[in-house]
Amino acid sequence: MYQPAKILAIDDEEIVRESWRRVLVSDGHTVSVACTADEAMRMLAGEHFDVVLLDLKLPGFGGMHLLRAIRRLAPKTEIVVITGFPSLENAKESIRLGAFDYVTKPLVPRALSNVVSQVLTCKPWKVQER
Amino acid sequence: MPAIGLRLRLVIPLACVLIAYGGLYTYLAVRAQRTEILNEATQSTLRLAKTARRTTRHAMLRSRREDVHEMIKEIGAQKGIEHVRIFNKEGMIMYSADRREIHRVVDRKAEACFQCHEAAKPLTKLTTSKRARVFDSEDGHRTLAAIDVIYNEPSCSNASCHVHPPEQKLLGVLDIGVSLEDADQRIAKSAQRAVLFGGLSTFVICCLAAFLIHRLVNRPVGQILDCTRKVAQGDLSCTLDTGRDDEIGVLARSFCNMTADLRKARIEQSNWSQKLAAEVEHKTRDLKLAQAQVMRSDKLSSVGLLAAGVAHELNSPLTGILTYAHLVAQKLPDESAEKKDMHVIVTQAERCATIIRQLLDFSREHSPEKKHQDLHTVLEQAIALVEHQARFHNTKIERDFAPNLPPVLMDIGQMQQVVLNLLVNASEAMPEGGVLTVATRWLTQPGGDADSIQMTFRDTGIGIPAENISRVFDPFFTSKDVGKGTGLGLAVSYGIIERHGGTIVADSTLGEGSVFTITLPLNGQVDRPKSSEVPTREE
Repeated sequence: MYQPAKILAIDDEEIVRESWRRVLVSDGHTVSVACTADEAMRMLAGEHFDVVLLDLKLPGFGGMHLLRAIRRLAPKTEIVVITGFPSLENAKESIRLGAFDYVTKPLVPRALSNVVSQVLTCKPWKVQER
Repeated sequence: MPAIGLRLRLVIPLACVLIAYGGLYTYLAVRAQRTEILNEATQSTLRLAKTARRTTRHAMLRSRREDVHEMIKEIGAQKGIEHVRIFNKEGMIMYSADRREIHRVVDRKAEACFQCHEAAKPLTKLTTSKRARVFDSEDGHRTLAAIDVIYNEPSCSNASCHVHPPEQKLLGVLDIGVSLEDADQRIAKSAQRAVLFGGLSTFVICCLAAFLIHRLVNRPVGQILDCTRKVAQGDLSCTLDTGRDDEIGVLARSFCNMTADLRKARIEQSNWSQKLAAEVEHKTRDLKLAQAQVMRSDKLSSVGLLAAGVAHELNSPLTGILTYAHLVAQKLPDESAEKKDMHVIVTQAERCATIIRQLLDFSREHSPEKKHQDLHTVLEQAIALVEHQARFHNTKIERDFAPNLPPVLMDIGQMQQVVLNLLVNASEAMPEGGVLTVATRWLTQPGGDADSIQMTFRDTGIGIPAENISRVFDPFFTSKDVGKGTGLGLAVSYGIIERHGGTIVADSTLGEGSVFTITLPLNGQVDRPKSSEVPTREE
């Protein structure tokens, strides 16, 4: 099993952010939300998050750039890419840049819980490897 | 007026010429014979006259008048002798076979005297031709008469009787008449024979000419004419064999050769027409198929764009609905009616999420990652995935794979998706079970650049109604019950095959089954096998 984690949900749509937050909070996690890339970077610079849920399509800043920036800024944070425009190229690029998983919208609550659960289950093993 | 035939055209002038020639020849022959007979009679009569004169000469020199009379009588008694007379210079008949004529004086204009006494001064000498004459006798037949002049020879003037003075040149004329009745009968018979022979000859020659013309000209020309009529009516099967080497034989052979060439040309033309019609039909079908594909492609493209936009826009609100319904449901007591209702909301929203995911799959047009793959491996893997599923329990899957199939450039994941889709569709078309035949073929074209691989999925299911067959690849078209299919499977498959440069077509007979045929181009990337196992597209 895993410990409750600190999670940052990044999406430009409030209903999506709030939905994720509510599901993950109900699972016992601590959830913060950000609606832009700048806000997310500020929050990541200020505190540590165990998991980042990242929408690839954010206004003003490409999701891939943000993924790269998060990877540099917080190497210990696991990133799950969630997108409404899935493609094989994006998925491969995301995994290559260090994303833990690549899932597509719409994400049903059970699927969201499962993916976060997988991240947190695997994370101790990955830390040991590092 | 009926046309005059070739035979008549040849026979009539030939007969005319033959008749004219025969007539002329017969006439000339009869005339010559007549002249000859007459000449013969004339010579004979002249000789007879001369003989009579010489016979009586001695008796005259002796003045034995009775002897002369007897001689004349004897001569006149011979058959055919009509008269024998001796005139003196004054025209008195001195001796005659007919004693009643003796001492009768004849006129100088009489036919016996006329030849000499025609001129003012009587002739003393006559040519042979003038000494003979022909005239009609009182009996109705012709008579040839000849005279022989009795000159006052020295033996006459010196005779003891001195009846004739020496200055007298002529003593008289012996006139002898011979009947020409026999000669005329001979001439008539001869003429009759000549005319008969000439006529018969002309008739025989005309008949022979007609027969030869019929045999040598008319009959072969008639055969050629019959053949030309048949050819004109379109029957090119007639043949001619005159068995001759002459001009008509050459003509017949030339005509036969021409007919054979014509027949060959007609067959070739017919074959070409059929080929052309088939080619036109084939090309028209290809064109229609290409047009339909372009239209479908455009439709898919625009529907794909729309679907992507709609799906993305629905994503966020659906996330909210799903999440909040889920959260509310968690708070409701189990077995409560509200929780059940909330569960319906969650289930239906999840269904919406699935549709949106499929829409996004459909609208995604990322290029396939193509590698050379063994198509049979892809097919076997897909079949292995489904054949143990409950829905395939009554379905018999038969394989009819072509040997030596070359590797095909394809995205193995996408191709598997297409194959799975068609396998599942086929099983759903056979709810009572049936046979699904999966076949592959290598289609070759001259040159090898247009070679392709064909995959067919033939089921024995319920079939697709004719009015739906053109819509099966349309997005959202489905014959399944509501909630059991989105109608995107075949549209997605179509898009995938199209991105591989291939085609997918459906054919179906209601109640008998459907066939989905996928053709993937090889683009000349493989070496053909040397064996002749590979069928051609025409097969």
